Amino acid sequence: MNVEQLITMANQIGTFFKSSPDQEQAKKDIVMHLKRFWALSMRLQLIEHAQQEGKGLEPIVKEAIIQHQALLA
Amino acid sequence: MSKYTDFGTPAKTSAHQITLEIDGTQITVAEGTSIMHAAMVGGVTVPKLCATDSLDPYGSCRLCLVEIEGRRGYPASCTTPVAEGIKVKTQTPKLADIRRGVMELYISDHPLDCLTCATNGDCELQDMAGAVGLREVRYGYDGENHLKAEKDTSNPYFQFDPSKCIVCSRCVRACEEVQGTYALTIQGRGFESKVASGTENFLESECVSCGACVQACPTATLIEKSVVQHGVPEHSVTTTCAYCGVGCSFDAEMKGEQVVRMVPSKNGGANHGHSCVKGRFAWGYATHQDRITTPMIRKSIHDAWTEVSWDEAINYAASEITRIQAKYGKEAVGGITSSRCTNEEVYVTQKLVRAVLGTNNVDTCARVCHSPTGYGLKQTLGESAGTQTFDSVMHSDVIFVIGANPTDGHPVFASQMKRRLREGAKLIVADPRQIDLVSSTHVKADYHLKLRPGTNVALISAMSHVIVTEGLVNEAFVKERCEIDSFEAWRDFAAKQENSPEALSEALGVPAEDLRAAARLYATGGNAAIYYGLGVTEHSQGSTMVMGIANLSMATANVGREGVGVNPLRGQNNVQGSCDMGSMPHEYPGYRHVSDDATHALFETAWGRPLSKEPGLRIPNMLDEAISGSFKALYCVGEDIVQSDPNTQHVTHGLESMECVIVQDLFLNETAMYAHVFFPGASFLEKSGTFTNAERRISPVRRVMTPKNGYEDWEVTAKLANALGYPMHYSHASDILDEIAALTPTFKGVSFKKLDELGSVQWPCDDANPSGTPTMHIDEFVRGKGKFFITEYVPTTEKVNAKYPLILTTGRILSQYNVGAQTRRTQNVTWHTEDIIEIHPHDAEDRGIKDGDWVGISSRAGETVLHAKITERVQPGVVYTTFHHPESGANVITTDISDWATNCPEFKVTAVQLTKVTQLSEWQREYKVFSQEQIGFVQHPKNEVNAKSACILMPDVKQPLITQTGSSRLMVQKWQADELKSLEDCVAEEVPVAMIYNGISHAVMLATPLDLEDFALGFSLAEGILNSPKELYGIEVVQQASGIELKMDIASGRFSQLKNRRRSMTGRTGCGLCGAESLEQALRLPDGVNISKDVFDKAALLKALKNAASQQVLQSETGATHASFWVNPNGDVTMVREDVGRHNALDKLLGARAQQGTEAGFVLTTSRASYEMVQKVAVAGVAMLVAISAPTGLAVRVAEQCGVTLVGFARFEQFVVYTHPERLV
Amino acid sequence: MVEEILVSIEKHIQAHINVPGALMPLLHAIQDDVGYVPESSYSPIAKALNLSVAEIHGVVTFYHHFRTHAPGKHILQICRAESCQAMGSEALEIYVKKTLGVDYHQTTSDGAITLEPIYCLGNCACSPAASIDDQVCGRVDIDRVNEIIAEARAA
Repeated sequence: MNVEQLITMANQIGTFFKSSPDQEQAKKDIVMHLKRFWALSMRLQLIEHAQQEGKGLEPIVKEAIIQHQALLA
Repeated sequence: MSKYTDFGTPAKTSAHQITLEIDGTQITVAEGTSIMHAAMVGGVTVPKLCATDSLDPYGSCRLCLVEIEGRRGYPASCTTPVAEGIKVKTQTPKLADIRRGVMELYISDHPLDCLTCATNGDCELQDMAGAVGLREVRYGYDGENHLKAEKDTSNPYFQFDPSKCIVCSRCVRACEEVQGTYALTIQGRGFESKVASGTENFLESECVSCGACVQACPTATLIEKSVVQHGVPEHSVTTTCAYCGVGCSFDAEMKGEQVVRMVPSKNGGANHGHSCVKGRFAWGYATHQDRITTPMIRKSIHDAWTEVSWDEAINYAASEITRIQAKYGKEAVGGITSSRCTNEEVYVTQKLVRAVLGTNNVDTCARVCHSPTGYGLKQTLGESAGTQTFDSVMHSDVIFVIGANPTDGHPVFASQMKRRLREGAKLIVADPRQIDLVSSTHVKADYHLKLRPGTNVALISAMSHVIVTEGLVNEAFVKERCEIDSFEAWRDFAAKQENSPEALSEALGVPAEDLRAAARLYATGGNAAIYYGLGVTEHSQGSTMVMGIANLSMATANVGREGVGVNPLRGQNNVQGSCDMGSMPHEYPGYRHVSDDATHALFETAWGRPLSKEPGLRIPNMLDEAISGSFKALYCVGEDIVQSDPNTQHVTHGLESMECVIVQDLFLNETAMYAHVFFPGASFLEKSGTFTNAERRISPVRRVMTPKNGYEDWEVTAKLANALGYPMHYSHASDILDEIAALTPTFKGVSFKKLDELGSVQWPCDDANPSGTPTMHIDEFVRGKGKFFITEYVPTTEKVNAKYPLILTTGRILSQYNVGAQTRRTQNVTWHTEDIIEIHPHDAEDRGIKDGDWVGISSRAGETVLHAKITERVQPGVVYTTFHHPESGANVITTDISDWATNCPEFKVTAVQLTKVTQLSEWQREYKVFSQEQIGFVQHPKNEVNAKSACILMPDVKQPLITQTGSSRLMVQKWQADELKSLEDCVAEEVPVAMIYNGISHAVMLATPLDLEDFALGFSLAEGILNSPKELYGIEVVQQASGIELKMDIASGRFSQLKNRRRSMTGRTGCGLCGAESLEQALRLPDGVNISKDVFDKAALLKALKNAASQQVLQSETGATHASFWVNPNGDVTMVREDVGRHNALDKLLGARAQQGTEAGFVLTTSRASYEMVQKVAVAGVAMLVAISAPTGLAVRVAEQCGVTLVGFARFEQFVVYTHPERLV
Repeated sequence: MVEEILVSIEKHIQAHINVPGALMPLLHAIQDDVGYVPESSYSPIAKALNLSVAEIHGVVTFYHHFRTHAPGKHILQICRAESCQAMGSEALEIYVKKTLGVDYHQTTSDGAITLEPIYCLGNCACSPAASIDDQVCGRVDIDRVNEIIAEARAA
């Protein structure tokens, strides 16, 4: 899939959860949302992108993906 | 026909019971009950006319008078309440006398045409005449009466015949009390009293065609035209409407397999005997000629379709899926279901995708409407559904409507809501547009928060701020029922200054004081209920807003009892059900995640196949993956993603990238134009199953006629599964529901049997709640404790700028439904022929746009062109349109931006610019070519069928059939090889087309309704009205009930020339339309024709065919003329007339015959038979017209109506009989 | 319709918009000012008062007092109540109808006089009674009515 589309969607998810007062929890929530609602192929593509600099990804989204990679894959 | 008891007045509830005696029987009823109602409870029928139990008592007809011991006079039993211990007599000699006298007066001004009356046998007046023993009417008809009162047939579905009216006011009261529109009144007083609308006719009035008046009418005064046509029904079947999420229960009243009418069921839990124009009247699409009933396949979307057998189609589809999965992997395929499918169909489709195809790539159209509801309510309250019943609104003190337009989208519920508002409930409306609820008859919103599209979350934040900072939180409720940590985080967030009404007022475009006042009203006004629609969900923050709504209801304790709650108004009939049935890629039926171990194991065991624990692709993901090359096949059931999903170009690109698209639908919908396999679908009248409405009410759908395509839809899916090697052996839809119940705890107690017993049931329905659960979350939330979420307002990335300065938002209209595939194929087009763009006068003035102008609407995604309507219903900066017509291309301009949590598209916010234009957009022009080509790819088969009648399509002659193809289909009888066979045929249509120049109707011609713009220009040039195409500034094709108007704007110089030479013009066809200048004049049936009773021998016809050609002298010399022949019953040609014009030849023949006597016989013509040819023959009283070539559709209908036998394609040894075959022996 | 009439009607609507039960006072105000309640005013009235066009139509047609077309310059009312009938108003009305060439609720072709029935002018002692515009006349015989008509036409 077009990775730009994935980045936009992931950032939107990040924007919702980052308003939580607990940023560690927010990262977990971002990853759990991706895990529960995104097809595996999309998640894998996103992880791959995050690993290669993660251009375009909001910092919290990128951190969440890297930090909880095992959960996502 | 009605199987329901009419108690005369509504039931009352009271803690206090009253016992009285009626005709010697002791009866106990609630205090406040009328004597009439009490009598009916006790099995005593009191005669009545003006009373019916859907309406408050009125006391006008004076038939229901009774005697009460110890009281004076004869009180009306409908308006007299019961009292303890009274003794009532309903039948005494005196009462009999009074009643007979009253009936005598009624009948003295009522036509005595019972035998030929359409409601003969189903008429309360007739019944009462019998009940009171009326034997004579002494008054006669010499005095003044209303018997010649003119009939109003303007409404396409029902007629009003005031000559039969008894002025009981039931229709007026039904319009007021039941529907809440107040479109009718009693005009004048005394003898002059008449039911009226204050306008020209019903169609011009405020009437919304709900039909409540027709249902209330005790006589044939207001009656469905379908009953006039078919007669009184003989049996009825209770089923559920297939339109909106209200889910009205209907009695399909039938004559064999013919639906005579749909009557809203009095026992309907959602509608209590009420309906809207769609449910009651717009069911004709189910038998529409556009339906495709034979499976079709093709290799490429650029090929014509090939009709094949069901087996061949199923096997082909199965082999393609197998091939694609083998080549590209399991995940390369998927399925889409629709909210128009039954629960059972959705269930088997998701089962097929998950168990047979081995992937979770299954999604449903809720993706593009209410997916944020499912997500948001699950997160906060714990269940993906609304919390209340519709009836709950009758206990609300404050009604808060956000982003919904109930009077158009959910009309039957809107009527109930309006009733509550008339009782005094307060109303807050949050909508960018002035919907009807803001201010209409007897309804006025206390606050209309006219927010800018895309700022919902700012609205909920501002209201939350007021509630939190002004001490309006119900602390006790929150403490007991909610997660306190989440509440505190939310409270701190809401209290921030940046969330105050003052801080957000500018972004919202709503005054801070209104926001504060509305929040206070919601929190302190008593029972407060929120009703919301797609104006909440179809945003990039749709899910956030749903959670914000839940936050608000929890903080103020407005959830968990009657009169309050969070109520999503679902768009389509089965949005709730299709989501319940596991059609989302991440959930099994009952909203259980695919990764959940227990659920996974349960379904693996039940279905006997390994199942994936990974969520599948959503609809937009499927399309994205198709474009990038990894998604290759789609099974799309009942859904039209090309028209209904955003960014049409992206959708069609996705479909074009697939190798096999399988579409199952009633019609060749927009998506089917990109398909390789077409499975014909069955209409809701042709199948059994269940629908689940917006209040979680599961209602039965019952088959009332045989599927025209041969199978119910679940059977098709099961066949596909079987062909893919997975046996699905359901014998009936009820087997599927049993499987659902066995596997889903919330449906555990649901079965066809229970639905038959209870009528409907609201889930959860399990051991604890065997009759269902009307109100949810009463003692605790489904998730345990309610959870608050922080809902920060994030403006959408779809921003206005200098290039796109306006915001386009979309919605729908009462008469049309969703993509319009159903309603566009009914007379509902009378009210909404095209989608238009609404624009505020300021914005219009800035752009030089006038009412009715063509305007181009361009967005970052695309461009389309619609007619403008200037209105203050929209605010400056906002424009609005509907999306019911595919050629409007509303979704050509909507973008890919979607809800962060669910990918629900942001339909409600698109930045656009509007400019005045003179022609359709490029997309529209391409669409026109493409869709016409695709329609041409469908063959019109001559299916052999058993039909006695020659003609199945017999609409009113005065209402021409305007079809996309320019043709229509009907049943005919073909004589070939000494045998008469019934088969289906296709005939060309002719439609009156008016040429209108700068508003002046100049000429009317009968034309085939194709390429009309070309016709207009060609005609104008050929007639010298225009010298060059440049002088034509614009053409608008407007469909009217009586034909098509081609409205041209031409250069003013040309127009003044035209005015000078009008009427001296030459060159019209010799068709008999000369001089007709407007559509109204065009189609007329010959008056009082007197057709001869002759019958003819087939042999005579064949003989004439053989011999006629030799008698055409001029033709044999020139090869350029037509001839008309007079043929006597022996088959001898006794007269011939020739002319270059076929009409002229016929006129000459009929002229000669008028001079030379009245020999029996018929007319044979060498031409085709058009409408005017039949008309001429009918006027001459000739019984049969035989044409060598084909007749037109209109000619067939005129012949049918006039009683003329019409024969076409009469050549060699064969001919086709189109009408009145009984005359040919 | 003349622009001025529309403006006056709109002015009356605005003056009544927040008055509870405004319909009857509003219809009176319009008829008193403009002389009649044009059908084209139904829609703006309905919109302003949250009523339906049908309801306005029902009320206007129920009361004989309201008329929907412009009356003549003067309004001649003949009393048809009991006392006046007893004193010969029936003959009077036949004469007036014939003389003016109109029926009740109609206006003479010169636009001078609209004929209306009325049920009691409270002048029973001097029956038969009639009124021209707002002026009540008693003991109206044929000569008197001729005078009234002539004066009205001259005015």
